Amino acid sequence: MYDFKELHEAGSVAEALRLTKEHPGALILAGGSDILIKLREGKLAGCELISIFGIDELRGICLEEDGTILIRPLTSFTAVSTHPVIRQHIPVLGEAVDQIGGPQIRNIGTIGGNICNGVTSADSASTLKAYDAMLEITSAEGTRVLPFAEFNLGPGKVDLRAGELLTGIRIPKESWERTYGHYIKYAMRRAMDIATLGCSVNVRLSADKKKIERLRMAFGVAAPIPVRAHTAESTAEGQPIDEALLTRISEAVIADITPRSSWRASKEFRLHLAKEIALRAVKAAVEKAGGSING
Amino acid sequence: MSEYTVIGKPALRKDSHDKVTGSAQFCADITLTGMLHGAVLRSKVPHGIIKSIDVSAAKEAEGVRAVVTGEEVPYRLGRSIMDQTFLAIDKVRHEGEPIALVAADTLEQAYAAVRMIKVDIEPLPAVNDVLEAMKPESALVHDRLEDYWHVDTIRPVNGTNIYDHFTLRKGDVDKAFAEADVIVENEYDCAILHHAAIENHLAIAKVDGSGKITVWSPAQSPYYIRGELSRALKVPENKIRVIVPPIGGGFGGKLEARAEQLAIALAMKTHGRPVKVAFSREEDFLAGTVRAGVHFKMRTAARKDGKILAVESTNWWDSGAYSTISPTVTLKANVILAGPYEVDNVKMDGYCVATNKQLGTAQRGFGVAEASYAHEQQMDAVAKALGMDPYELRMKNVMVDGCKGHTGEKMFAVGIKECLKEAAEGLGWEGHPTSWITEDGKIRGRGLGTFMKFTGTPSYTSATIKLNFDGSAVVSYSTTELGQGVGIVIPQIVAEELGIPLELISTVQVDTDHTPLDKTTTSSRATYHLGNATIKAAEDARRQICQWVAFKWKTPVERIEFKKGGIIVQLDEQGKPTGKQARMDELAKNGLIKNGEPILGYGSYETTNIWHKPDPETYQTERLTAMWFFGANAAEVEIDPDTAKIRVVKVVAAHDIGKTLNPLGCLQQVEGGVIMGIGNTLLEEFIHRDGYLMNGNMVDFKIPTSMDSDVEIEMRLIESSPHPEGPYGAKGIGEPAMCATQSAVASAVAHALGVPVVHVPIKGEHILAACRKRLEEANDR
Repeated sequence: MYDFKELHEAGSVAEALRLTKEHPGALILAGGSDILIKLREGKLAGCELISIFGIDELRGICLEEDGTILIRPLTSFTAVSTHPVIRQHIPVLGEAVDQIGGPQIRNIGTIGGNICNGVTSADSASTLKAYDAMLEITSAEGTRVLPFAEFNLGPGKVDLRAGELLTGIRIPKESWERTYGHYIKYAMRRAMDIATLGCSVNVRLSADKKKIERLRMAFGVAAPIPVRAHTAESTAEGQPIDEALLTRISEAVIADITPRSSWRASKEFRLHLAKEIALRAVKAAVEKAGGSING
Repeated sequence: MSEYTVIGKPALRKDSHDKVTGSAQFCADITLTGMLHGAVLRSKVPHGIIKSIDVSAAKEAEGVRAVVTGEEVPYRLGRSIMDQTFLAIDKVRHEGEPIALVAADTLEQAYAAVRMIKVDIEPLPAVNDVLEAMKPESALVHDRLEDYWHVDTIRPVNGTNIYDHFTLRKGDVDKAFAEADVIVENEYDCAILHHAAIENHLAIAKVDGSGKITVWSPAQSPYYIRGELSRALKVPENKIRVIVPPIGGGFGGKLEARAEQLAIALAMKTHGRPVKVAFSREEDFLAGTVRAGVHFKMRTAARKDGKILAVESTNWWDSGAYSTISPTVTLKANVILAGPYEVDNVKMDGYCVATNKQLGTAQRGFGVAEASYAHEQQMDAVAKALGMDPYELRMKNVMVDGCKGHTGEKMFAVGIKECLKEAAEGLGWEGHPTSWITEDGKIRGRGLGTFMKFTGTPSYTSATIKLNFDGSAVVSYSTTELGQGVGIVIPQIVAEELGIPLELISTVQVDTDHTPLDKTTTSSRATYHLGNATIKAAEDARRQICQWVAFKWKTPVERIEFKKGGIIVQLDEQGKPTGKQARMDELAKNGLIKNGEPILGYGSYETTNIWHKPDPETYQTERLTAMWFFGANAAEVEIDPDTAKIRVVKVVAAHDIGKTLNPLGCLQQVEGGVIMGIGNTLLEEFIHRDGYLMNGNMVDFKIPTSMDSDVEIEMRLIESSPHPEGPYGAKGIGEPAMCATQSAVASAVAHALGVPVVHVPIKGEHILAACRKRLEEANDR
């Protein structure tokens, strides 16, 4: 049963901020696809909820004047994956969120909720991490900007302090321009499943498409929180594209991740998968960028 | 041209419209006047001693009308062993076991009150593993199993966790092994599975002033449940009524009473107000039912030329905290564990074992899919040892008419050879390798699976056909519609036998106060048993029709002929048609039976007379069953060697159907069965840690989604071995549809990788090393 003490519905960001102040400890409810499951399991018994679902100013995606892509946090996965700005500039994000749950969940679930939930398996998190997303966090005192890289503090824990609300996700132009991305979710089923491992990469190639100018790579479920693979990235920097490079990148991944054994999969299997899907994702991204692995 | 007008033609299920549009009223949709809502306090630990239960706060809570604890309802349930109480009394034996109940005005109030119950349980070590459970030093789930009442066909052992030890002995196994050219020995494991029907267990119960108990429940076998409840409550059967709304899937899981006894326990205290107890999905995982896990030890002896000389097995079934009908699962699997092959020497020891896990019970196949996986892995291993083609080896050994079965009976209507031939042909087996590497570096493999299964005997059922004056007919029976299509096959038979249009024939809701006696809806028995009963009911109706028409036409009844297709003809004294006739499909127009003597045809079918009780030690008998089923699947799989992902490319399913009554219904069964079989083989398993279920939800217990079902399925229905006693020669298809998929897919994976599959489900991490090795071998060549 859905055991909660009270539900407060905010109509605006200002109202939401006021409510968070009045009800310290209350949980922010966006689409509800994570919180309702916990509520049903009785894990949040007696909690207070502040619904921000009605705040339309927190919905939508746009390209800002300086070329930054702004994604408002309440944008549903379906809206993300079908939005022209996403499809044109960072289609990989749409491809990633299209692999969450089923159509109903993608219609209700939000990208902001996905990252604020703080779990390592969040399908949007690795792509946002790989694109150096910046988070706009608002409180009554004002707004602070935090790199998404610093947001996850631990499993299920994120750097949102009392009275704060995620109000924007920004991907700077420098980060996305001339990049091509690819996301691979390894799961037992082709739908309605949680990733055993997820890997998002994006590449920027040299003008002649012979070298990787820049590689960005991030993983889900390869560590307690979504992680960037900096070693693998630097292995690729400025290097000519060939099979040997792909292998080096794939091997380098091991230094970046710390998967654990659980009843879902063993650490060894996840390590193997991480190398394999990293290799495949880089290869696919390079091909999308017009590069070729064998000259 | 077919000799039938309706039989053998595709017919759309009569319940499709209601179910697709959502207008069907399932048990969950029913709200009765004054109905209360029940909630269950369940054990959080898998094994422990109940020190105290304090329900005082719950009793005082808002809206609460009744609270029940175990001591108030000390009734015992159990088809094989009466080892189960409605609620835990001194001890809890599995996570999720019901401990106390609350009925309240609203479900929210009931849940709130349940949370107020204080229960103190001293945890005991959980019996988590079936092989550990067999060790003398193991903790005991039940202290004294023999002391419970139990059926005399099983052998529980005091001071152990053994619910039953089943034995089958045929020929001289030791001698055969001594003489064998090749002996293959392996062990196999199948995980615990959940039925995961779309509808959870639930029931509504009402106890009226006279003490009569009425239960609304999606009971697969309402008369079986009625019998169970009657024995438990020591109330005569006529004081219990079971009404069955449309069922949202059973697969064997709705055979056992799960929510029924809880709703009754509450309804006995609510002064006539009905109580609904509906399990949540989580409760269904923990306290519904499961397919037992099993560990097989298999030994097979063969001669150089491929003749299988002997099969020997000891196997242990992880049947959980209470025995339910699991001993029968163990039995049914062991009887056919040598496969549909002629084997002179067979020795089986099946142990049905208690653990502190969920309750094992029947699931589509009663252990046959698991057994098929084990015997088919053995066949592949023998083929490999002998350097023979796996198909050839099987063909050489398959049973034929007249051969002696594993139970010593003379087999008849044996269609396995044709099935195997058709399945292999459908995949293009001959001349094709069983393992190869594709151009894009994937490993492909092909495999075969066969099975045989028997239907539970002795058994009985009955049907009535009521004719309305407008020419429509209502057929009543108590075999339930679980999705298997009984609700269309039986009307088809009525239409065929009486010449009444199919659309004018309806069925009625199963209700033990109204619909005729039936044993169970299990064992793929409906078409065969109820079909035979329906044919007899139609005969009875025809006799009554002829009598009435004779009276109406003022003709001696001997000169009224009821012809095929439902044409009633008047004959002259020489037996020639006079020209006067009437058609059954025009009764509304011709008014032939209007205001006449009402016509109610009755027919029954039972199989006690053909059954011979097997010897308890050897399980040898003259005839074990009314009907044997046979079938074969051939499967092709593709494995990504780097991620160890397995994709089933194609399954050819050939079934010894005897006679196809509804090809559309068969296709639905086969498609569903194959996908379910693939889920069982590649995805589904219960994962426990110390008796705690880790993955009791629909995300972590992975049944295939539609996205995972894009396998090419080819069905071949074999009609070359009609059953001499079956309706039109028909056998069953419900369970057979999935019995050989697990074995065929496992066989394909084993062939692809060149190593036996020793555990299902087959998980990526288990085969990764084998994938590597297979590729290296390919590169070496």
